Amino acid sequence: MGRRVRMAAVDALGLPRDVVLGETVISMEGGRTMVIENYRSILFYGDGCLKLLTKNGKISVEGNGLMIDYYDEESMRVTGVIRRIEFEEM
Amino acid sequence: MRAGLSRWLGGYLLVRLTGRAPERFFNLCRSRGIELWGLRATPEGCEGYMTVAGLRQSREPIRKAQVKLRIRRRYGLPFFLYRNRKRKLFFAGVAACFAMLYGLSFFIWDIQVEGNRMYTEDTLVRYFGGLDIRCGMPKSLVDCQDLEDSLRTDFPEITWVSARVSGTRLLVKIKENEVLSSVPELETGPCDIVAEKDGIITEMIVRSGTPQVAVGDTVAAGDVLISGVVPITDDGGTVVAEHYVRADGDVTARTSASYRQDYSGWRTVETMTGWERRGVFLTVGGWSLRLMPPEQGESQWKTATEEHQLALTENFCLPVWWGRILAKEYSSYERMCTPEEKEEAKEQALTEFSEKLTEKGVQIEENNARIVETGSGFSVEGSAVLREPIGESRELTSSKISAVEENDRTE
Repeated sequence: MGRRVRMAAVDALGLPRDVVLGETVISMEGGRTMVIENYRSILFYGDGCLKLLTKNGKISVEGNGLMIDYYDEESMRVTGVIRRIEFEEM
Repeated sequence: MRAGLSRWLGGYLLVRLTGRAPERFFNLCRSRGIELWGLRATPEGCEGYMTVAGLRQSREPIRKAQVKLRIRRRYGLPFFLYRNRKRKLFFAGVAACFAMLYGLSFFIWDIQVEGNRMYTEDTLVRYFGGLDIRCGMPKSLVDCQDLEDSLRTDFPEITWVSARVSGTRLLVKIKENEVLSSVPELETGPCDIVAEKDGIITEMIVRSGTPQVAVGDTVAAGDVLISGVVPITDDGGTVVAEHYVRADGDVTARTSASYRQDYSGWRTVETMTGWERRGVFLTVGGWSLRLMPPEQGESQWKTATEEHQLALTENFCLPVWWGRILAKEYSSYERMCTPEEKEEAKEQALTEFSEKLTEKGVQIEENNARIVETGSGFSVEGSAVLREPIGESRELTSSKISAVEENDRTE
């Protein structure tokens, strides 16, 4: 099933986009904790910057003292002072 | 929690990654299911934790990502055991501790009773003591079936019992009978209804028998109100026969009652001096240690103890109890009762009297009480006008019945 068909199904049936289209879900608790789901890989990791590759593009997280609490196939939990999140579509 | 314990049991490491592409190493580990957590970027390189098993599996990712992995610190049980391998006494102590726990698990260290309302826990635990079931006895000697049978036999009000040993605790669950254990037998023999006490009849309903009094009559205790003898008359009004029935009816009368309650004229007053002694205690098996400042002089103390039992799990109790003791000093003296206290006693006597009668379904028309000073104290004397049922059944005597029958035969 093509992406266009799936998008039409999501719009018509109100299905969750993260499940059907694999879109990234970002949950934040204040400005210090963030959980990112549906990411593909880590592109860059440093004290002030974390770049992730997702299905539809790249996500860049900027801040101070960023720490990856845990990460697995599905999700990643990042703690630290989060100042900015940037999306870059491919 | 479980993951943390599993990591600790298996051992885990703090590692530092240096090299060209630590991100590639993270992605390779992720795809191979190698656990990495607590990643932190430092000027020297990335640091994070990984399990010992994960380190063994990460040789290929290290080679592919061209990173160097350096172990900075080791955590967990395997490393702890290795570091302390020369401390033989420590391990002997740990082994002895486990052996002791294992040994203690063969005994009962707590008895818990649930569902008791009529019988207190103390009563039941004392009863268990009579059956040689007490804290400290071997679990193998507890016969739960026997205990259940004994409880059912010796306590007829207990209708359901379940006894089981869980861990080092004996759990006894009971259910007590909440309804009448036997239905009272209905009496059917002929009887009169007689007055229970003196009074003036205010209301009368006769269901069977012959009424002997009417509303407004004054009756004395023992007077027949409804007779169990029903006369059969002919057209001329002459009694030709008499039948014996069980008289039945409701007779309400206005009665008077008096009450008296004596009180001492002196009242003991306890006042707290403000001095407190706090202590702790520890009981291990039959050995007890109590740490508390000593008493000074001949003083009176009120002591409250808070006791806890050591339990490894909910039902794995151990013979170790500890707690806090709080003693408060007080002094007591006697003083004369004040008029307010006497008034209070009067009100209390009035209320108690009223409540007792109201429970029985008696209506109170008047209730007066007064305080009477006696030599050593005072008493509360009261009188009340009541409206209450006064009829009680009295069996017809066989002589009375035979006399009436004889009379019938003569006629």
